[in-house]
Amino acid sequence: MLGYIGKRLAMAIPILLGVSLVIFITIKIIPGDPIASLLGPTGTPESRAALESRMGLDRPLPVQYVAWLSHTVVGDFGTSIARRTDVAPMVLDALGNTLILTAAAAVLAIVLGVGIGVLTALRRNSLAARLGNAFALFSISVPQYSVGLLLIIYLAAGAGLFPVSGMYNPSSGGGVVDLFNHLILPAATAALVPAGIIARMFRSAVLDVMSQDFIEALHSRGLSRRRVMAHAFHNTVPSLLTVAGLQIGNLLGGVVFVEAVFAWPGIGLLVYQSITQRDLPVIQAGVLVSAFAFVMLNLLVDALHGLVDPRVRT
Amino acid sequence: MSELASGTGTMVTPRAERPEAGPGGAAATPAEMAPLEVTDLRTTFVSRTRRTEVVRGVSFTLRRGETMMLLGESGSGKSVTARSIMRLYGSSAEIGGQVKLGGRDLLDLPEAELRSVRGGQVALIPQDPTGALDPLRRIGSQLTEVLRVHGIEHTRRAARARAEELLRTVGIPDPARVATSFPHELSGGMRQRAVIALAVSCDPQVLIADEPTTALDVTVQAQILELLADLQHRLGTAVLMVTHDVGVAGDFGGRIGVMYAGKLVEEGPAADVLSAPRHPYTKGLLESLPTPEVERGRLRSIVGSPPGVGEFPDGCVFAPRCPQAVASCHESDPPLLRIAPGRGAACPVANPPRPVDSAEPGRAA
Repeated sequence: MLGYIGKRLAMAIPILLGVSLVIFITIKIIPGDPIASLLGPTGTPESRAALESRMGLDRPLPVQYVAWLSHTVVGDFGTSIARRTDVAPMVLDALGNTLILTAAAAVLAIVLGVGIGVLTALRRNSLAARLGNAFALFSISVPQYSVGLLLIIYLAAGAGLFPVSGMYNPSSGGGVVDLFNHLILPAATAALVPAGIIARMFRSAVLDVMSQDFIEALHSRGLSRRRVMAHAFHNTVPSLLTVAGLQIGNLLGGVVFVEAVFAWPGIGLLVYQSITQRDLPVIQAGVLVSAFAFVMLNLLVDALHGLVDPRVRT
Repeated sequence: MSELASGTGTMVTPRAERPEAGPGGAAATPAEMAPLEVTDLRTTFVSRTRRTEVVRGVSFTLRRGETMMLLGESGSGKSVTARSIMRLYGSSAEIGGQVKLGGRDLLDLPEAELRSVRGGQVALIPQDPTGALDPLRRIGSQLTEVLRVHGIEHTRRAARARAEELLRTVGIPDPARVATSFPHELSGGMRQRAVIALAVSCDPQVLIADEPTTALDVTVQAQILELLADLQHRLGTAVLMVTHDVGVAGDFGGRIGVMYAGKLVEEGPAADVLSAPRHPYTKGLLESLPTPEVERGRLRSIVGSPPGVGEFPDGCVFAPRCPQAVASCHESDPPLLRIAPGRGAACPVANPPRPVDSAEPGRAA
């Protein structure tokens, strides 16, 4: 088991290196001149050259990449061009906020998805199962962007049940309750699509396990229905892990929209703002940190998978 | 019921006629003599749109320690017969008739009592040992669960020790290692041994083996059959074996019930049925086997194909394919006729009535 995790960890290193290279190249390719935007309209060719050499942008690309990477691995992400402050604390704060939102959405999506999946698999013709199927279809089909806006219009601004945006209320001074109130709408919006997908995948996972021979064999040994179901659900965990891992990974990348709509101060919003400001160090750090979180999440899912299913531990 | 008992269905083998089986016998009560008595078993699969009768009035008796083979091709209803005895189809099938075990009708038992019978008194060895084991649980844990559910062992320690003992009983040389193994870590033969250990864990009276060797390598098949025969001998378990393999049926011995289209068409001691079949279907089945004497390319087969499930013709179901069929075969479905002591065949054409048979006493009991 430890060897299995070690192998996965070792495999994560080349992946992260590849990701860093892609990010670096992408930043170099995309249009937009950071020097020009830094200098503003008053820049002269001399001041331009001075700034370029100060930032190391006049050196060859491989040298720039190695310099950037060697700073990055020790947590030095440079200085924000737009805000003139250290990038690292900014990005890490934002990542923390994104993880809070992602975790809340993930819990919501898994609970809803598993509940609906079980219901629609085991009570196939009931009214509740039909409603569940309808919800799963609806949640996959509606665009997140508009759902977020509708929730803001009707539940937050209209009915006044929830705060419209942000993470804490500046006047109330924060706290867990305040955070929770701010969290509900963005988490629900972000959870919608993964909940629907998990529901459909989990439904077929349950049906698949229930149709396997060992279920009949367990019945033939005189086990109670409850015990047989415990075996069955145990056997759905590997597929649940796979689909939930993928969906949480998507959430991590996909909360950009939700963060923008609800002004949630996460990594998505930060990168989004930095793109409009051409703040390259922040964009680089933000994307890299997101990718790192994604790889770590997959590593965690793989480890859990190995823990649950002895067949993958090789 | 009485009509069935008087000759159409229930078969009587010579052992029942031994004197100690009488009402005064001290050791042998009727329940012990016949742990399993299946009478006019009918299984109909029901869905919202249609009903399909798959087993159509099967009757047989299985005595203590005895072996009965249900021999038939795919779709003949032999597996469904075996599973219907344990009521494994839940609400997807309606099961009619009677399945008497120790004086109780399994088809009438409430769910809780049925559970104690399943695994406890009647155990199943399914065809595919890989599918019969929970892939995520260790072999030992699957065994101890059954032992504790049936109240054989009450502490984890004792259950674990008993599990290893069972694994040794089924010929596993290193039970401690196998008990801590997951199913995928074992070979097919080892897996089937573990499944057999699960089946015999609660010392059942009846062991239902549904093609227990079909999924195994030929080299392992013989070992598993030997193990089953050995266990049967040691534990005194009655075995109901379902097979499509005439070779297996011949090797394992006991009695054979030949099934065709959801019915028993012939029954009797294995050696008799295989050497001197009395039903045209059994004859055709045996003639279509490749034997060393038959020249290459001259294999015989039965003309036509079995009727689709639910598309049974009036009259004898085999009549459309039968070389001996006469006009009356297409009109009424012949019952299983007693043709000799312990022999039955559902064909009046191949077995014309002789006065001696009907005059023999005690045969219709």
